[in-house]
Amino acid sequence: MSEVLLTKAERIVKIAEVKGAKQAQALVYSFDDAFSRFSRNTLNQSEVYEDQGVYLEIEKADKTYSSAFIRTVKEEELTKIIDMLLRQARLEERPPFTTSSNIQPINGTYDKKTAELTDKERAEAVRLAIQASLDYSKKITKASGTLTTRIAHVALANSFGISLIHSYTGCSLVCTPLAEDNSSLGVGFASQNTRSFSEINIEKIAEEASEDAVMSVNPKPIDLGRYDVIFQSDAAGDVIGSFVQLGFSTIREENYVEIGSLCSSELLTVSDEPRNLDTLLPRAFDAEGIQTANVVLIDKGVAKEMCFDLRLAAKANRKSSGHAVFPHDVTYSSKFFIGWVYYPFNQIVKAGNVTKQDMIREAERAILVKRLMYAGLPSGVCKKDVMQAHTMGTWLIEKGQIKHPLPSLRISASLKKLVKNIISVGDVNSVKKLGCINTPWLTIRDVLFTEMSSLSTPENVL
Amino acid sequence: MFEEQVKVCLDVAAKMGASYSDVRVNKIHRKMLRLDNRGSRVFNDVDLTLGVRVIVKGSWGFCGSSILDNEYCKRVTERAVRVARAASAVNKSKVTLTEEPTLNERYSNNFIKHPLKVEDQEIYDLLDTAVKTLKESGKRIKSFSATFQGFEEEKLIVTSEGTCVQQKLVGCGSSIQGWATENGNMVRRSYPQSLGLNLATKGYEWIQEVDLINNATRIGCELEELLDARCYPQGFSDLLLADDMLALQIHETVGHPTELDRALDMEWDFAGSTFLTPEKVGLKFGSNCVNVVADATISGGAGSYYFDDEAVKGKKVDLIKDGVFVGYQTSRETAALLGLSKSSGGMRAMSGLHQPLVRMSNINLLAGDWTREEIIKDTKQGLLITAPLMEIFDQRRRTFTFSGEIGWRIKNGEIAGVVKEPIYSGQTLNFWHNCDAIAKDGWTLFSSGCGKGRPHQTVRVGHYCSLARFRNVLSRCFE
Repeated sequence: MSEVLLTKAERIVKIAEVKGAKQAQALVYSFDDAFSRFSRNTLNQSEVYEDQGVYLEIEKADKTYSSAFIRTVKEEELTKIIDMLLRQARLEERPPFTTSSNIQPINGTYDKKTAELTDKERAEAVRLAIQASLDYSKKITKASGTLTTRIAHVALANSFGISLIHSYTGCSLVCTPLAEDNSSLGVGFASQNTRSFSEINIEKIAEEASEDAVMSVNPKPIDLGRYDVIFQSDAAGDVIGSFVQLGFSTIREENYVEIGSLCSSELLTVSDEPRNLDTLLPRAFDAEGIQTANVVLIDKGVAKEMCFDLRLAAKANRKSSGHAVFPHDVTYSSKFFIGWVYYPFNQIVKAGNVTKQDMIREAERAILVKRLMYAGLPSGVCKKDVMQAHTMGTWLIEKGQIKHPLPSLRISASLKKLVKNIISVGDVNSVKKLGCINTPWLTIRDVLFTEMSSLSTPENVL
Repeated sequence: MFEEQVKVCLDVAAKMGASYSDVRVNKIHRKMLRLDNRGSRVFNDVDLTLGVRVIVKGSWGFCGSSILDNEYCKRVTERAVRVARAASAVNKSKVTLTEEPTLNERYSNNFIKHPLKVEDQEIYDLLDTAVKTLKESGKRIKSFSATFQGFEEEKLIVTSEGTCVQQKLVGCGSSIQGWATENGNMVRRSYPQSLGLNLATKGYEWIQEVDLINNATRIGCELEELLDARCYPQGFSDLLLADDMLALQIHETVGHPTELDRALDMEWDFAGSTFLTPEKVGLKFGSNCVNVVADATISGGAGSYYFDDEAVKGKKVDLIKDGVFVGYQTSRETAALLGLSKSSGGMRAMSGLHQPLVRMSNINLLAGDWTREEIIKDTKQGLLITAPLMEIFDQRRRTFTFSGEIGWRIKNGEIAGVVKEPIYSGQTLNFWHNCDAIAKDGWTLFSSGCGKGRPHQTVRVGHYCSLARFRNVLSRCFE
């Protein structure tokens, strides 16, 4: 498939050149995505799509430039769009297209079994997830969640002889069952993200989510204020992912972090490793056809390095680290997985040596948080560095033991302070792959909670 | 457009045993022109996509494709049927749909000047003048952007029930933003709205009406004021929400909570739920002056359409009437689940590739009895906020915290100075119960790109509103 796409990409570049472009670059992609979404114990949304398209950039002899994201590979349509792009081209400050170079491929990103998964197998997986949730406890009244799979092929060609291909698969199961106990409602959450469907442990995920749901009914309120918080991996991923994107990605905020400074707790080490198969979205080249490189971003709290694309590299007199992203996330969108989008999307937070059990055991009084809702960028973190989010799966820990569930709590905190206040990092057994970041559990000191909201509060007005 | 391909899909679905099928072809062209510190840029989005949705043995199946030749249409339909069949083996309940009239109509919205046919240079000249005006209005303005987007969306929907509708929507929007910095302090101002472009289903005349250039001076001056402004002290006071800030409040605390798929627990895996569950129909939601409608029929709205993506005619539906929660935004399936006889016509998809979901059209807060000036004059001590900066709410939309780019103190009925990036929090029901004044003038369109569902879909929605006052609201500033 990738070879077919590469032929298409090369053909599109040729058409653009014949039509009058001095240079052109075409990224052709093919996604075969399947979403089996269940709620109310029913597989209520069985959706697949076969999406092929092109991200096309052209440059004319007068150095004017234009681009389009095109959801068709029909040559007749593409020819018309190329004519339009040639008419629209404008002067723009941008780096030249990459010339051909020897890029080391990355193997092992494509799982044949996942690519060949049938609709029946997907439906059967959902049936298992629903059944496992309902079997867990009579309190589970509604099983819900999503099973997603992606088969992706990408080809990049340009006038300078770049001819690159990449294929990968992905798979994700999310379970969010509802538990009811008299008039109290609890929702659970568990997920697994892999590149291979065969690695998904359906019953385990459904049971973990159901356990959370049952453990969340009848929450007791607490006083709002500052608490130490144990963030399980899903919640920790939102904190670190947001911070790294704002400070280190190619779409970073200027001067958010100063290289060489102590930017976080000394317990925190984060790298981006697009060439590491342990991440879920590894790739050999970026959107500009540059070979990717692993980069240490934070080393024991010190800001070490940032990600670069060609534009940022030219500005800083540096080399690109191969972190250019496509305008529409066409190749490596982490939206496909359950997390929000964080760039760069192969982050690894180095595990510490504290077990999950010890993190809880060592807490005198703390809050355990499974997941954050509505966190992350762009809506949850503003330019004032304040991160807001709602907890989902929230329990009070006292004297080293989980005492009782809490209502959903609203976090309102400075991201910079959150990462500086990390006081313990979970061990390798606490690490979870979230799609764009692999992270262990984190304990963070003095997190401010400003609001509380129960799922099943009666609507008492005024 | 593509009648032959659509026929192939319907025939294949029928032969393979689908009890219902619909086929949707979408052709979309969006063009964006942008000027910022990095220079000028042009970017196009061109979509040509097909979606086939079927019911087989009582279960849904959907397949979308960006390849539309006859052979592929057959393949896509076969896959949709296969997917539905597999789901039916899991499901005990069967999908039922409301009965809807069979339609055979075409629709195009009215406009004077097609935004995609305006010369690029004319648009760039306008954007350029706007950013120059903005830069000249303050010495500390360091960054800027001005953006235009024009779009044309064509849609053909054919169903196995005999409906065939075609719709063409043309529209555009624009915005300007500036950032001022001093001593590490950065502030932002936007016009006409801070989140996204102010899109409308109107011609290029909308861009002229919005008048970026004359408003650039104003927001430039406000940026300068903001840099020197202080925060608002934490406490309870009267809150006046204006324009896009009020639009966001409506979007998040009325629009999303009244989506029936959320109320039926269909969105727990991603977007969350709502406190307005079906037994709450008839609940007193707000004060008597609060009237909110979902109106797909209003001319020019960002979320206006003639047909939804189930080929149900767009409607104007009461959500909150005289302060009482009276209805939902629905699809044919969710309406039937609730025992309603008709859909509200609220199903839309981002493209042919995607299965439609219950989406907002234009969720509008109807005009009240006051003028904007009267509301301000009647407020002894309060805070006026506009231009959303940040938003957060819980999974059931019971509580929220929003912030704006700018606020103004109100003292004894007069505006008394700028407040930096104010925040306010509340509980949805208490908040709307404390709404005691809604303006009748300045009723204007705002838009948003609303995200929902898995796969994630962003669609254009609109909100018409002006200014409203809410008593006794907790306000503060960022630390």
